[in-house]
Amino acid sequence: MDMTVNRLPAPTWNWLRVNEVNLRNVPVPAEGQIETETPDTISYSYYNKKENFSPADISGAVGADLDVLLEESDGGFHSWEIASGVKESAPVRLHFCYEAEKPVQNRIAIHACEDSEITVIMDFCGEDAAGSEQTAPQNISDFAVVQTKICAERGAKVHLVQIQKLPESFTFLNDTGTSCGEGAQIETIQIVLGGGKTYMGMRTDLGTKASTLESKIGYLLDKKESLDMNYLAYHTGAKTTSRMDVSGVLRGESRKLFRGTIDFRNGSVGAKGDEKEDVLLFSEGVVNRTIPLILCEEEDVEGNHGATIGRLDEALLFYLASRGIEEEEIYEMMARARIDAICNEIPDEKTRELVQGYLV
Amino acid sequence: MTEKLLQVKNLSVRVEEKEILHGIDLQIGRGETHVLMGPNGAGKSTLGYALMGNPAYEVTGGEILFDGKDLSELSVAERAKAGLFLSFQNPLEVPGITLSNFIRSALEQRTGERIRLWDFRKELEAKMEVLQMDKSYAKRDLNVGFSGGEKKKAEILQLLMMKPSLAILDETDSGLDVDAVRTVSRGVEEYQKDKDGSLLIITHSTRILEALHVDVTHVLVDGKIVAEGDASLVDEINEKGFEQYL
Repeated sequence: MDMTVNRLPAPTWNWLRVNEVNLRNVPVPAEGQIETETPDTISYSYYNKKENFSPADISGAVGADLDVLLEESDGGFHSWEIASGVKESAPVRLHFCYEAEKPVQNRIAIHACEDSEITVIMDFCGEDAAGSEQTAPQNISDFAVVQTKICAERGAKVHLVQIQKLPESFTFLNDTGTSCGEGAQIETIQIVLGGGKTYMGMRTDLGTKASTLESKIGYLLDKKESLDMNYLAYHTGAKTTSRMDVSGVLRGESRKLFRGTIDFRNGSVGAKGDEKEDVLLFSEGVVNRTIPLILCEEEDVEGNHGATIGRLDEALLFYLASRGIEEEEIYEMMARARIDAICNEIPDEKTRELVQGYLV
Repeated sequence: MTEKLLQVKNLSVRVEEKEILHGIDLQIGRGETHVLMGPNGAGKSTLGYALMGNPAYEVTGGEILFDGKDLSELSVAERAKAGLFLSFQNPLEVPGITLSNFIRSALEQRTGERIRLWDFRKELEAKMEVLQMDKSYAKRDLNVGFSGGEKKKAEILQLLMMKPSLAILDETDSGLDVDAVRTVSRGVEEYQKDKDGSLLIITHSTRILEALHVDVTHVLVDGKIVAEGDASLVDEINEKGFEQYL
């Protein structure tokens, strides 16, 4: 099927070609396998509609066409739930290993009941078909989709960590939707270290008082890899806060587009939203695009966007070079430092090691 | 006779369109400690940056010989590898690179060899103890969230670990309280002792010099060296200030 994904909530000039992405001939994926590890305090079920939490009712940011695609696919939600008041430091681990020419999808639901705390770690890797050539852009065959729906009830805290290291031949759609109860906290860390074409979206509905989102994204793109992002924070609750930190490196002929929307709607009195971007450009051939969007229906709100884009600051280069480090090595160090800074915040040693292993 | 490690001959330096240094002559022998004093805006830091090769500071005349080699042909990193070190007045914050990893990378770059982690850690901790630095700083991102004093200590820690043959300390004592100056001064003494290293201490106060042996004092005013003397010149300036040279 043909799909439109990552649509900007308030379109800009069409000629900029950033309003959305059109994908042609997308195969309908089968349900994929996941290796899982679940702490005893957390219950797992294969989704069937529940009274209090219906993942399908939570919207993602990749778009409605993805929901249509997933409905056509045969599969339901893998659901993890943590009971009220339970705080579990051991993570739920989900390992996805994709094969070439076998399009797959997985739908994940995370339900954190009142005052609970849960950590979910997903890592996505893939196998290149031996000797296979990269498919023509119009024929997506090495294809995977993951959709994650999170419901964090009042006072709950959810940590979501996603690590992506896919071969260049892969097209990957990664969609997240979140709904927050009063005082709920969502913390996400997403690290993209490889993948031909990646489309990521995250929508967070901060609909109740004092709920918070803290989203950190790190990426290292090389060759002809592309990363297209659509992040939406909808503030409708009072004193809600959102923060998006996006940090990455573009090499070769890689491309990145970040759409970051903070939408202060009626009722979001005292809300704050921040977007921060830090992009290091390694070559002339890269394409870096950013669409920061701050929409306001409410007066008493604070929205900020800041970006540092380009090559390294001369003063920093001089400081590091004065210790005997050559410019090429400084760039390598700083590229790695961007990922390290995010990696260090992953609340799990094993996953930090996994990322470090990918960086070697 | 002391072998001259650094020879600066008739050096003029321009920043953007303005000439800051006008014909500086300076010679530092191995193991010697020189002090460069002068009022604010005299060009002291400019000399430090020019010696280290900051591209924003253009040498418009004269020459700099270090260990007999003309420095003008060397990049900043090559100068560091040749044994030159600059301790920054305002060290920069580098998120994502820990102090420990940074020093280790710098040492490996200089030597071109892998350094055994165990030996490195042992030496790093010993030097941190000299500087009364909490060991946790080694794992923290370089200078990120460090207080002014801790940043200066981190600079001296790098000096002690890298063991250059000439260290230029640019206002290392500025903004530090009495105790911190004493600690940093102890670190500098350790460097002198350890390596028989040469020092060019740029300062406009004299607190850091109290515990150090000074061989030569230079007074820089308006981009020119206007007076030279032994350690007694430091005391004289301490007492009378720079007014007599203005």
